[in-house]
Amino acid sequence: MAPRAFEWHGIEGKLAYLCFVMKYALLLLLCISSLNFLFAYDGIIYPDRRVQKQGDNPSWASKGFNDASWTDQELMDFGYFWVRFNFEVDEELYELKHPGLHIISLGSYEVFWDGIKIGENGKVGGTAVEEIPGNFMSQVLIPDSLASLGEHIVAFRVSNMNMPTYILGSWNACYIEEYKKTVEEYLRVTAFIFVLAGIYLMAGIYYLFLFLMRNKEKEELIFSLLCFLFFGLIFAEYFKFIFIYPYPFHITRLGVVYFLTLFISFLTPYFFINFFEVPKALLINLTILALLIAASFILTIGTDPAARVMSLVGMIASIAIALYALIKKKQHAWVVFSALSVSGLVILFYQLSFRFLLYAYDVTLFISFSILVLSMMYVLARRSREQKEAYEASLVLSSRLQNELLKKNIQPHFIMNTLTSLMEWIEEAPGESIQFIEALSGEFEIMSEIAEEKLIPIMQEIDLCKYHIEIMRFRKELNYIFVQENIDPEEKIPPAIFHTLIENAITHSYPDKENRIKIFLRFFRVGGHRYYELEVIAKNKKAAKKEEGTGFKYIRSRLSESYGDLWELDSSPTEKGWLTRIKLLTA
Amino acid sequence: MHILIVEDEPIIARRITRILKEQLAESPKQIAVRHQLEEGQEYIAENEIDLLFLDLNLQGDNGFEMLETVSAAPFHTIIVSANKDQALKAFEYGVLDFVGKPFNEERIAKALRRLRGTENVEQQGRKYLSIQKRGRHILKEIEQLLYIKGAGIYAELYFEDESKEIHNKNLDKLSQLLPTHFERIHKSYIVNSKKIRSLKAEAGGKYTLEMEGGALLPVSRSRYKDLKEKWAI
Repeated sequence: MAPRAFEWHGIEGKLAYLCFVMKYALLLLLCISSLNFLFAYDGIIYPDRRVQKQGDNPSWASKGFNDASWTDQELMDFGYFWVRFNFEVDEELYELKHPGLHIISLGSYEVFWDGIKIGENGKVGGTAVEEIPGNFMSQVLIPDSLASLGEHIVAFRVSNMNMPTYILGSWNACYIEEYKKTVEEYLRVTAFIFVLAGIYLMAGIYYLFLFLMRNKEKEELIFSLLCFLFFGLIFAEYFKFIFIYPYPFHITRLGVVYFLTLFISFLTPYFFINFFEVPKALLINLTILALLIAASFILTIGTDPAARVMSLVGMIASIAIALYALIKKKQHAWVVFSALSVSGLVILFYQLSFRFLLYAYDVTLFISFSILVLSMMYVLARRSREQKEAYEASLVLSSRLQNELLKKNIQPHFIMNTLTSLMEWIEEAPGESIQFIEALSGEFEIMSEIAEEKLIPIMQEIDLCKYHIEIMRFRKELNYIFVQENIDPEEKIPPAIFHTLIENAITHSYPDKENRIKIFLRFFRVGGHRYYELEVIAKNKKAAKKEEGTGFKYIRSRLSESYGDLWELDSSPTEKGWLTRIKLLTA
Repeated sequence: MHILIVEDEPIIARRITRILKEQLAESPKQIAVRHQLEEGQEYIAENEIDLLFLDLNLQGDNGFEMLETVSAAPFHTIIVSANKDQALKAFEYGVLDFVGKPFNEERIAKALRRLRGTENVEQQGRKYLSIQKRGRHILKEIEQLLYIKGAGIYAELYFEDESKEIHNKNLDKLSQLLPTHFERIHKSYIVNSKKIRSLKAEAGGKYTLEMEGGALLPVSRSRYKDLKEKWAI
């Protein structure tokens, strides 16, 4: 199989490629490590308990209210809700200069600290018109007078009248943290995350260009798409820190995240299925797609858990494919399997180690994305290099075969023996020696014509054989009989294949009693396949040798060069002499 | 002269035969042609030949075995080959001449002159002597050789390591194969001039050469003067 041409050639290409991969690898690693450090939560006081109740009652704000009957489950409805958080504030509070409440809320709220209202977000109301939607994320400063050690109750009065109708309920969370630091940290996280997004964007564009301008490799397109999707997902996940938006938009954002995750979870295993050439790809792809959609319908569409389950499905499917590739000993399976396993472990580790689920999913996703993208980039780069090497090797092979063809006539054993015989003919029988010279010039002429061809007309090959036989007739004084049967003059064949077989036949055969060596060349078609048979009727010199000489290596290389794997060669002694059969398969 | 030609190209064998017949028109001769190595070996085993023309493709293992065999044999061997790049190797093993293909009459004539010793042959390339020993062939380095003593149709070879071997070629034939620093000092002795310790004149007009290792060899009166001048002893 001859690989297609490449854009990148030579050492510069290699270096450019290496630089590219290295640059992005380093940046990605940097981001991964910085994420780890950024998300190490220090100076955060989490609530110990969260309960809620549907309805509206001002007394539910007070510290002393008994909320034992309240539920800790999410309430799936529209209207007014109250949510109460129990905080056990210890000395950690003193580390905070200006303690603040960081609040994430799917609704407008008023917030009370031990019964005292300390802030609000939007305007709580009983109808969609009356209510002014509050922002999804918000911060409230805790007054110094209220920030003391001991137990505190934070109560929210929430309304969610502007929620889209297909989503029920409200969701609220809060924790105590340095008021100013919160904002700072978000920006820092976002900055780094956006660098990551930029990398994905560039990688996506880069691989799209590669796909368009080079070999139209499907995997490069899939990878490019994945990079764009990652970019989109990062943007969708993190612009919340830059653009403060009202809570109803959160649902829209989750919808976008849902679809992005669906595509990513589908395309990731799809990439590996293509890369490792997994059989029954269509069936597996459809199964994965069905699983992904089923997962998102069982869980509510457009919520974080759905995205999480879809990622998990995509991840497990990818690991399964990598494992399959590993078992089948596919190239690079090991790299992909390790990368995916590490990604899996990272997710597991973060899921287990985070008390609060706020960032765990995002962080794990991005760390495992980075590892995933790196491994994909690595295998694509490796494969690209291998293809380039294969292409270069095929060029080398072609020129080597050209050399071998040219050498046939100038190698000393042939030419010196021929010339010595010719000298004797000239001295002893000058008239006949002219024919000898003509045969020799005939063979040389054809050789020079076909030297750079990969396929030549069969009739030209036969002429070459006839000239060679004529030369050998003068040299060996034997009666060589060449018979061609059923040759199709439209057919083509790699150069000097039958010439080589005839050379072998002449070297390895004794003539019969009448001093004859008969050579038959036959052609026929069976079931669309083409067959050539070269039969030599003569006495074989030695017992059939198992190992093949350079002649057969040349023939095999030539057949591979022109027909890939679609050929068969059998050569064995028969009762009457030797039979070589070449089968050219129809693809 | 009994000559065997081993050559698988019939026209070339005929050419060698024809040229030999012309060149040796005056002398009694018997020329046999064999086309296969095996047939050639059989002929050698059954006949005493004086000269072998051998077409040898030295690429395979058989080629080297054949080379060791023929160079240990009592007769001289002339290789006729299309692969001139193998000439050096052939000389290393000890053939009299290497005739590259294609060749003309003059080239065969030159080989015959070498055989008769009428044409000086530069034999610097030779490294080994092939010796037949208990049915096997061993290669001994020529530079390890101290001196050779003629013993009728054979020659006794004395080496630095105090080993002694018998070569199937006689002293005259060996002298044609040895490098120029091997000198005839006596009708029965050839010495390696690089391994001489001293040359002494003894009472009664006798001359003795002492070799490394202490061997004392007689020097003929006719050679003494030459050697003294040549070696400036």
